[in-house]
Amino acid sequence: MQPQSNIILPKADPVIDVRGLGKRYHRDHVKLPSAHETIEGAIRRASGWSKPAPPDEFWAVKDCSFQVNRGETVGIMGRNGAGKSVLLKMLARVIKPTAGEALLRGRVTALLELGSGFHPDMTGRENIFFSGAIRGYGRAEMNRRLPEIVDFSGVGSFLDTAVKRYSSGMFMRLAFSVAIHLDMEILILDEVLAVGDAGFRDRCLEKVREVSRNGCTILMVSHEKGVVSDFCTRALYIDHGQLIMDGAVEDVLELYRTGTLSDPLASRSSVA
Amino acid sequence: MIWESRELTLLLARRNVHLRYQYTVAGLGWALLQPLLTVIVLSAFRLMMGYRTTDNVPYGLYVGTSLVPWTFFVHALTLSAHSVLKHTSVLFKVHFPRIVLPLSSVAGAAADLVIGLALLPILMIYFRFLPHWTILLLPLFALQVVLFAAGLGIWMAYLNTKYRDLANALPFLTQLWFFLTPIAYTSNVIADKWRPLAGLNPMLGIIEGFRYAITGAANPFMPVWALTSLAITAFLLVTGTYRFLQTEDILTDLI
Repeated sequence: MQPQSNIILPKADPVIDVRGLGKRYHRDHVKLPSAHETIEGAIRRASGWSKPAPPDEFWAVKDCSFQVNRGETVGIMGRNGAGKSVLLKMLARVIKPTAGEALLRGRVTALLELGSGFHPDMTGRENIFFSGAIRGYGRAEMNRRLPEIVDFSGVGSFLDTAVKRYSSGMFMRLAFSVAIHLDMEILILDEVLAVGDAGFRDRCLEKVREVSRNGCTILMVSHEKGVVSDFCTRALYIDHGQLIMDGAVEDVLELYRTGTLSDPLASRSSVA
Repeated sequence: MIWESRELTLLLARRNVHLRYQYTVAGLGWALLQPLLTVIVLSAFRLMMGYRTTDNVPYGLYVGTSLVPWTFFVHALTLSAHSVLKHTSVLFKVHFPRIVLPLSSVAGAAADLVIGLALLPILMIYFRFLPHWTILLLPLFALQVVLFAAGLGIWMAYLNTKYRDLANALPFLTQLWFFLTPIAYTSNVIADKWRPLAGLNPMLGIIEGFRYAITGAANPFMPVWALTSLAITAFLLVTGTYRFLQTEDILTDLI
């Protein structure tokens, strides 16, 4: 592990420890060779007609290393396709890294999308309990949280109505409410706050702030400068799957805006 | 780990059953109708062919007894084969023990099995047939078919994720399997020398077991078949679970 002198560590208690994390994909990974292609390939190789094509690989995330201390809120910025979501998915353990490892200490809630696991034909109540169960929270625990969840979501008398009858705003409020009221120590957010009207967004952000105040460690992907500078104590900048910068929010915002580092002092961090 | 996620498994199973019948008129009655209609069709077919099977047991009851576990088995297999791909979107968003997908599919189909079993007393009343004391063994054979469906179902869920050919082949394969298993006919047609080998079809032991439970009479080879079936079930459960848990992490890469 290399020393990272440019990071201001509040207190060294890393709850997220990412080491050399990488994910390699084959551009054609989904396609299995069909029967005739397999035979054709075998003949070609046997007869020496042609060399097998080099595997078409690319690294969606490559050699990422960083730590996040307890209670920190860290923003992740980068252009579309930079690898932010793949990184978060590896941290959320829905994708297995090709290289390296990510250690997360404590209960994790990954909110990669609002309403994951919700079924339109099920009622709000049923979806609340299912959402909890799929994240490992039992019936008793969800029962305890139910009043808070319902209260924040404002679904009120629609609690026992199928969520397909909900307005999209109501649906999002409920989905966000279930996730945010779980008892977690690490929260991973992937741009989920970009949807919804301003009122909803502000209430969600207020809730995130509250969760943060209670000591929860937060990792969030956002394209919104305001959100990142308001919430984050630190930020990461990712480009072409690589961690370009790990430092102060202003520096990362500058890099995100211009694509270059204008401040020569900032180049002390690892610029490729 | 599987034990820890029992709550999720049951919740998902309940959700699947609920969604399956939510907007149907017959609802869970479908679990009864399917084997019942097959019994009627096969009985009519038998009349046309003039095929004589069993002297002391009415054919309708005889075939109904084998169709109840068979209908469940095909249903459980189909549901678990599709279980992983059906939940693709949530697989990419939430980390949870993936094995609950095939397990809950089998559990959901087992609810249908329980309803389907109600067909047997209906047929018994219709044919005025008094069951043998061996009916007390019925739950054991019912459990065996559920376990076998789970063992094969876990394998199917994994294999169908990797080789999508399976989803296309499954209806066809189960249809062939239906004709190769003595469901519509009696196991007496199996020549003596083939009897030990025939037991490699685990459904044979289960279906003969069901017949034994209801009628008290069965092929003398039934215990061997039932035990072979049990051994294969245990093998499939252990290897399937092991394979699935091993691949669980990279399931999203296979999709």
